[in-house]
Amino acid sequence: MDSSEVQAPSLLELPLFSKLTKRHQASLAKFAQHRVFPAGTDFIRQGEYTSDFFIVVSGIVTAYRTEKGGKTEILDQFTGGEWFGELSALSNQPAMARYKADLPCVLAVLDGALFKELYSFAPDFKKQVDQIYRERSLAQHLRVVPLLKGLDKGLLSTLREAARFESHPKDSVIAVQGERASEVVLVRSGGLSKTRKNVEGAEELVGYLMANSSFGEWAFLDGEGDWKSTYKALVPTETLALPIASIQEAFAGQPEIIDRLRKTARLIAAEDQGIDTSLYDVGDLQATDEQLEIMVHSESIKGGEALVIDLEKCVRCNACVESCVAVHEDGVPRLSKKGKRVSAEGNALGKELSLTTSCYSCEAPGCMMSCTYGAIRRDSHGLIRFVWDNCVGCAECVKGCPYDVIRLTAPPDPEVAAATSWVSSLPLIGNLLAPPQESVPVPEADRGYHREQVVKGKAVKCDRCEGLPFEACVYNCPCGAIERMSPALIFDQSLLGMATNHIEEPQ
Amino acid sequence: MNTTLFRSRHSLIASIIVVGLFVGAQMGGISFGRGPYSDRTFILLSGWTALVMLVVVAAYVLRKYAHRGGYSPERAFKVDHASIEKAENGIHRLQQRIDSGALKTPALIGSEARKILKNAGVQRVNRALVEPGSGGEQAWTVRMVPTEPLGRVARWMHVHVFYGTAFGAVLLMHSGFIPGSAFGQALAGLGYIVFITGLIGIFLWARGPRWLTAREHDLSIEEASALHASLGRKRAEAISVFSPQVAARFDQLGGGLGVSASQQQVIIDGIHDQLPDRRVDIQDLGALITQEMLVRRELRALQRVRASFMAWRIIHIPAALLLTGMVAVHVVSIWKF
Ligand code: SF4
Ligand code: SF4
Ligand code: SF4
Repeated sequence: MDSSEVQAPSLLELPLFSKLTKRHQASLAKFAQHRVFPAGTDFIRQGEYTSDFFIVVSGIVTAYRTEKGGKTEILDQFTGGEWFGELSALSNQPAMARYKADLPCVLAVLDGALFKELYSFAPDFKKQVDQIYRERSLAQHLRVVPLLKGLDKGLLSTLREAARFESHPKDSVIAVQGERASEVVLVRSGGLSKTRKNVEGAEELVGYLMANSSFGEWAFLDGEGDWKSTYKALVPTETLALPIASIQEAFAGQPEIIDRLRKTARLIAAEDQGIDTSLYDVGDLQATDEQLEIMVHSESIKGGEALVIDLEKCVRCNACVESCVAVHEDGVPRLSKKGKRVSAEGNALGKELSLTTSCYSCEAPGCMMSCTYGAIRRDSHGLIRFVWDNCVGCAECVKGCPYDVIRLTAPPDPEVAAATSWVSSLPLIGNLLAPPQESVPVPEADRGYHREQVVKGKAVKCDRCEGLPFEACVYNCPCGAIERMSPALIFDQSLLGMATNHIEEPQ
Repeated sequence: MNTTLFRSRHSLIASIIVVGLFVGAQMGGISFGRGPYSDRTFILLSGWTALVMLVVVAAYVLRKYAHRGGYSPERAFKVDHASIEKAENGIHRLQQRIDSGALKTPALIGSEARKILKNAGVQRVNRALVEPGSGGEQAWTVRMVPTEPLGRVARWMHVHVFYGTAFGAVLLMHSGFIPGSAFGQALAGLGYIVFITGLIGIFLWARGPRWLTAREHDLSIEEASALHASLGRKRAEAISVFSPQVAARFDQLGGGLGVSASQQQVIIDGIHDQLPDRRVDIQDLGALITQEMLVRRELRALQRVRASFMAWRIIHIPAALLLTGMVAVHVVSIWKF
């Protein structure tokens, strides 16, 4: 984003911020930035990952959306006092449109962490944002619900009034398996665990749902309208509930749409239960791009890329780990070969594989959701990056990452005595092996938004050897055993129709 | 079996050199090594060829350890985050132009991408990869990938394997199978050792990983090693709370190694008798030691399998180092005298 920072009129004069507490006013004054964009600047590209929330101080901004096939439409226009970006700030999903300064503009920018802080703790701010969101962006956002995917924005706007916004504190149960389901729920921000009772009646974790995932599509199928799983908030979570009755009512006079919704619901339901979808008559939805998109959005396929070791080639020489150490000044390896094993029968490549513990830049990054200090962001290209200055070493991301790829290093300042390591985060034995040591206060700039915090360490993970002309682990393996590839390629290759032998064979 | 170890254009080049020398000698009626039908030019040619091959073969080792030690020269190309971001933004915009149909051929896309990378100053670190797109409407995708200026070590490995093998063959022709002088014989003997252990090594590297993978049931070798270290630390910590005398008796258990189960029981019973009020702690510690023993056994078994395909290096590496030194002496002595 090209911009320059300027002094601009106080944001506190805007109605959006009129009822903030003193503490939040101070946060806003300190952390909000003002940026100037000359006329004609595209400052957000469609598809770019951003978590910033923008308020137009002066000028005009237009949002353009280009559909597949190149057709571009104007989605919206914003002038002084209006805002946009709440969807991305809440969910860290790619921008739905390109934003262009039509006239010279001054914009106030709140980064995702500050926006979430105000959204969570400033009720009037939340109310105003939700109200405008309902009027302006809701119909657009509903298009990410797999059930409603592909429906026209005009049709979806009929559901606007029926949608219910809900906030769920950490650990609250949102839906219980077996109880009557009467709505489709879209996760706006935060994350949920999804559990199911097994044959012995014990609760089993079957997955996670992150921002822009949805559940409850089963309820759309006649006679099958019970929650098939129990959903519980892992962190404070915002959802949007759409009553099934309202959807049916909205499309009552349009049997072809109801039929289409039913087919989609059946496909999602089958996918949810791990049933071969070819058993279902889903007509034109079968094996199309749309099906793939539905699956991606329902989290059955994760994004990102994994470092994969072909165990039939790897001689366990450790050159990969040593090379990773060699390119990082802190001497901490970002990968460990103790990864998840995938048997030859269990993957599309037909090889014994090990998914090393290196970052996948997940579609639904548990680390980012757990970090309340704004120290983990998705960059504009989707890669998960750690913001070194904001990290206080609280180790929440270590717990939040399902793949155990984050390590804690000692704080950068040698005078800070708070030496800790990833060992200390091991369950049960962590504190025995690496007893916690004293921490010392750190400069204000390193703190989160108004939290008194000491820096105990810094979180690190694979940065893909940023800035170097190689990924050291891949570059230095003498056997060509380690490669980067999408997990989807390994597990769902037939679905994606990719080439079989993806592990590059050196010539 | 890792057949990629054998698939390389260098196999062809190395074969051509060896066959060329052999056929040349046969056609010229030249006998190998020194003898009545030997030829000075052939000896010099084969000698120099072997020397060049040895240098190329040694370069792999240098390359590998320079990387691992953090001395790769291409690290000097490192660029900052802002430049990468600038280039990525440019490539993203280029993709949008491709999607809108403004750019249609990979050559054009490639040339635009190169300009973007150059403007951002990252051309030495990243190159643009233009690939056919997966969607129907989107004909091409472009993304940034590392330039890998010196090539992957896996490729250098091919060079090592094939020119190393060719080196052995050229050495045979150069020395005439059994050289005359003691030094020559030692040199040739060492060369054959390096050559043969290398051949064995390459075969074992191709097959061995599969043996190990098949043997790793519940724990991988990495997991077993980490678990073993962690249990060892826990044991040491648990023992440290006892008096030095009792700790010494626990030490007799030797972490479970070399002590039979019945002997262990006798030692533990003895400690029980000495400290009847610590029964539970002692039992826990005994269980920990047994667990450590089981993990150690598993680890040793896995290490043995790994050693079965790594042990050849114990001979190959020192012999290769010695050979390099002796070749240097040989070359200098020929040159001088
Ligand atoms: S650190 Fe873990 S949770 Fe975060 S993006 Fe990487 S793999 Fe996913
Ligand atoms: S890509 Fe680089 S940072 Fe990531 S694991 Fe490999 S060597 Fe380490
Ligand atoms: S460098 Fe390659 S062969 Fe060596 S341990 Fe790593 S993946 Fe295996």
